[in-house]
Amino acid sequence: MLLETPFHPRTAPLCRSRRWRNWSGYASALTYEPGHEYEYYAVRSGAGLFDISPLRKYEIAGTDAAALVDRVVTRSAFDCPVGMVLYTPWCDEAGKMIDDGTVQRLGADTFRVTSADPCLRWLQDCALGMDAAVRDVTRELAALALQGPTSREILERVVTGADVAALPFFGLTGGSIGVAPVTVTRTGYTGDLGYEIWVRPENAVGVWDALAEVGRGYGLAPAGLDALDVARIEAGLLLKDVDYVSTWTALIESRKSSPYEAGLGWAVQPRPGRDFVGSRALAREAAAPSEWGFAGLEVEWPHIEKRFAAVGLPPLVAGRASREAVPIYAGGKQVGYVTSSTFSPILKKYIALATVRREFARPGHRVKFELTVEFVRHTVPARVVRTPFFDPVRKRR
Amino acid sequence: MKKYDAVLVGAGHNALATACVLARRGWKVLVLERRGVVGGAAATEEVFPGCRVNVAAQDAGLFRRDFVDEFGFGASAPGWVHPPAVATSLLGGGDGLTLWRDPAATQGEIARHSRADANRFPEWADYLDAMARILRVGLDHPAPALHDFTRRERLRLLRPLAQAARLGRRRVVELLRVLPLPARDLLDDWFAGDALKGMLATTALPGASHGPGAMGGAFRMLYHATGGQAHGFRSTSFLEGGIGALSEALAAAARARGAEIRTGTEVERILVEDGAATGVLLAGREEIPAHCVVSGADPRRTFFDLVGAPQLGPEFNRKVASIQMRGTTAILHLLLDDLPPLDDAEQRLAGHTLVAPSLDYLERASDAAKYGRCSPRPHLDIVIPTLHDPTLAPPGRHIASIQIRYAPYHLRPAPVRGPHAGPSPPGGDIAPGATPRAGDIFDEFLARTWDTLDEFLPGTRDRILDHRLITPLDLESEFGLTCGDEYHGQMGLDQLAFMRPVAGWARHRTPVERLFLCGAGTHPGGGVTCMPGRLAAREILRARRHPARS
Ligand SMILES: Cc1cc2nc3c(=O)[nH]c(=O)nc-3n(C[C@H](O)[C@H](O)[C@H](O)COP(=O)(O)OP(=O)(O)OC[C@H]3O[C@@H](n4cnc5c(N)ncnc54)[C@H](O)[C@@H]3O)c2cc1C
Repeated sequence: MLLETPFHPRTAPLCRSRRWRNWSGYASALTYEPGHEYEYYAVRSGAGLFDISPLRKYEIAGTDAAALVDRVVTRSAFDCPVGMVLYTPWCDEAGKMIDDGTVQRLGADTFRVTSADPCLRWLQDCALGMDAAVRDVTRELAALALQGPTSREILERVVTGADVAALPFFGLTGGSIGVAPVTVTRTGYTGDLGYEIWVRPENAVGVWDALAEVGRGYGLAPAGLDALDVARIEAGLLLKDVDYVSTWTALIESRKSSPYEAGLGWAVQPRPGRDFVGSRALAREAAAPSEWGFAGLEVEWPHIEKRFAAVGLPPLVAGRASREAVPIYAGGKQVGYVTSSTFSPILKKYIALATVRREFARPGHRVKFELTVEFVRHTVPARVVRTPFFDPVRKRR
Repeated sequence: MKKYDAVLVGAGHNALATACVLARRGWKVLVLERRGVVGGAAATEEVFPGCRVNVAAQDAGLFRRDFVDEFGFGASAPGWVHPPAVATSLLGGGDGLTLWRDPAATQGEIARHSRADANRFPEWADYLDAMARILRVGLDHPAPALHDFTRRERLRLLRPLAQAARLGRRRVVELLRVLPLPARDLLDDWFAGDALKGMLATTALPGASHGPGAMGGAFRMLYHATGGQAHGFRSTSFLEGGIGALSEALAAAARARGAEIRTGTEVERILVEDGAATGVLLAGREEIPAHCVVSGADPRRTFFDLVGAPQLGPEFNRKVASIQMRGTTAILHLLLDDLPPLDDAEQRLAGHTLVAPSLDYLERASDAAKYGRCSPRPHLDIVIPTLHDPTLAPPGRHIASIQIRYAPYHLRPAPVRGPHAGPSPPGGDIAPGATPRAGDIFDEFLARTWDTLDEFLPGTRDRILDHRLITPLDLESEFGLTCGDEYHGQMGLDQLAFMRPVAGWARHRTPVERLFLCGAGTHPGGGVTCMPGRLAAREILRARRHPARS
């Protein structure tokens, strides 16, 4: 049976669609209402409240905690001041991605790492010979993501003992909601203004209630994974085992991806003398780049409409995000594949994340996207564009 | 500063063999040994005043003599001793069973117990030698690099395969059949007599923490016969001047070719820069740069203590942490004013003298170790080197060195390190509930050893002038053997060949460039064989010729 998150007493009655999904062993709502559109728009125009408790969380403490984190992740942990959060991938010794997540620096010698999948043993193996204890705190910590333009105002009214308004993008602060001590981070998976709230499970329901109560006047809606999926594609954010395959789950070498191949080259931060797991392999790759790269695509909507109109149909593209791999062509040859795609309600465009041959990864390139209409395959033009597709100023301000 | 081509960590006999080969090639070689003498576990030192004692290893029967021939040790060539008795099993009540170098004499002895066994014994002795000869082909060639099975690797396998095939295809198949067997099963196939089986099974015990019922015992029996001339037991030979003479001879041969050897010099760290070894740092903070570093210390010590886990990848570290290192042998040195009272003692006690009266006796002794306890009735393997070279002790004195099994390093509950809690309570019992002290546990173990000696070799105790017990904890602290493991890692089927020291790194190379391993923790394994050292030298020379082909 699927586990229930600490918010289940609140999310279960709200989930009128009864559409649940297994997220790391927890029942997680795909949508609360029958469709996800309302929840999506809450994120973009009010605030969406997501239960993200199933994330794996690890606490790392000890005099070598910073050294350990620095050894595990591709970004330089020493450059992360106390009270800040890093988004970063981490790799195996061959420089292939294992997972990606955030690293919160709670103190000089205390960190909290979130990941999509379990990696306690990995962190502990990396810690051999170091003074750094790694603890799995997944079940000791519930988490909510409050995402959307009104999220700051809601939190300002709910959180005490912290200046939420002053919290910078990727900042971290302690505070309270009611009687519950919380950690608030200005992070999220929607590419919008947003926060994540970390709280002990026994205080979870109280925090939910406080947010829901105040949020009523700010367009707050509980939101599920379907809405999140559309928002994260608009934000150009990767999903493990969809947009890249973890080296731990890849059955064959060619399925694995390095951060460079996954568009996360910016997160690889080598420094002379810095030795992180995979650093040598990544240095080699930096010198002799892989033939694969990452691209954001905008598919020409009028062409999609035209293809459907030709057989007398309105454009029947799924209302939800698609995780189906779709071939990409150029010059009559396949040059890559789309890993995630969605119609973007706010941009009114069809957008996609893709793995393509490196020479096609630069913005401006024109490629063809395979489209099947009435069991017949066609191609429609698409353009490589910079990600995020949607990048509101409020996200960082 | 003088830059060495190779700095070797430790002057165990394997590192000395590596040093010989490298120095002969004109390499500038420096060997650094923590202890005051060379030889590591194969050393002879003054333990009692005026007495030279083989501190750990006794039997050099596994040593590859062709190495001596290859180097022509000249005046320093060690003198081998082959006493008439190979082994004597003490059966209590003054009874014994001796295997002699003379096959007819052996047959006569066995016939006193079982005529059928006596008839089969010559065939068994041939079988053991034949199987060991094939196994040796595998041991004396580099381990197959199955993890990177390129065309070149496949070609490198052709030679040993052809060599093995020449020894008889059917025998190769037979070898594959028996290798995983427990010693018990193999021996039950051959013999009926419990005394004989118990005695032969002792050759399966070194290198494992389990008894004769454990898988892989047959492999270890054959392994211990790969020195040739097993006489149905194990390859056995001793040295004038003790086993240390062999290590000294290796050291002399290395020095003669220009190698420097510094004893009393502990390496504190192996220096690594950008993933490559650059030299060593001594305990006295002196840095010695070198083109490559070769470690003769065990793999866990090398990687975790000398290199440091944070310098290595987590996947590799996991493997190193998982290497089974489990010392279960203690050694007890006795200074005697006469030989133990036994008819024909001078003859019968000149080989291995065993307390191993049956398979079940050994199995019970090993049971205790499974639960982290010392055997209440241990198995003893006694060697009296003064019968091989009387000059080791003053006239009228004898030395007996006893390997005692089982005394596990990993005691449960984990004891407090340190000698005694005070005067032992009567009977050496440990108060229930109290955290025991290691010293008390081993005092108790020593008491059980005396009992065993009284039972099987009565009268010996009256002749003891002095004794010294070396526990697995001492083997770690004094000899640098992690967890007191005498073979630098158990010799189970899961830690052999391409899986020794860890899967993927069987060729003496390491994830650190220009850092190599040459000790017993590498293929083909433990014992005083010199093979790991020789094979390592070959790989090191190859790596220099083809740095890219690593
Ligand atoms: C009690 C006992 C009895 C045995 N009996 C037999 C036997 O009868 N027959 C047999 O064939 N085998 C026997 N063995 C096994 C055999 O002795 C070993 O497997 C073999 O000697 C290992 O040789 P080596 O050169 O690989 O390593 P070692 O002999 O262990 O040498 C390693 C050397 O490295 C040194 N060292 C470690 N760390 C450092 C450092 N940081 N700096 C400098 N130096 C360092 C150590 O002091 C040591 O001298 C026995 C072992 C033991 C413990």
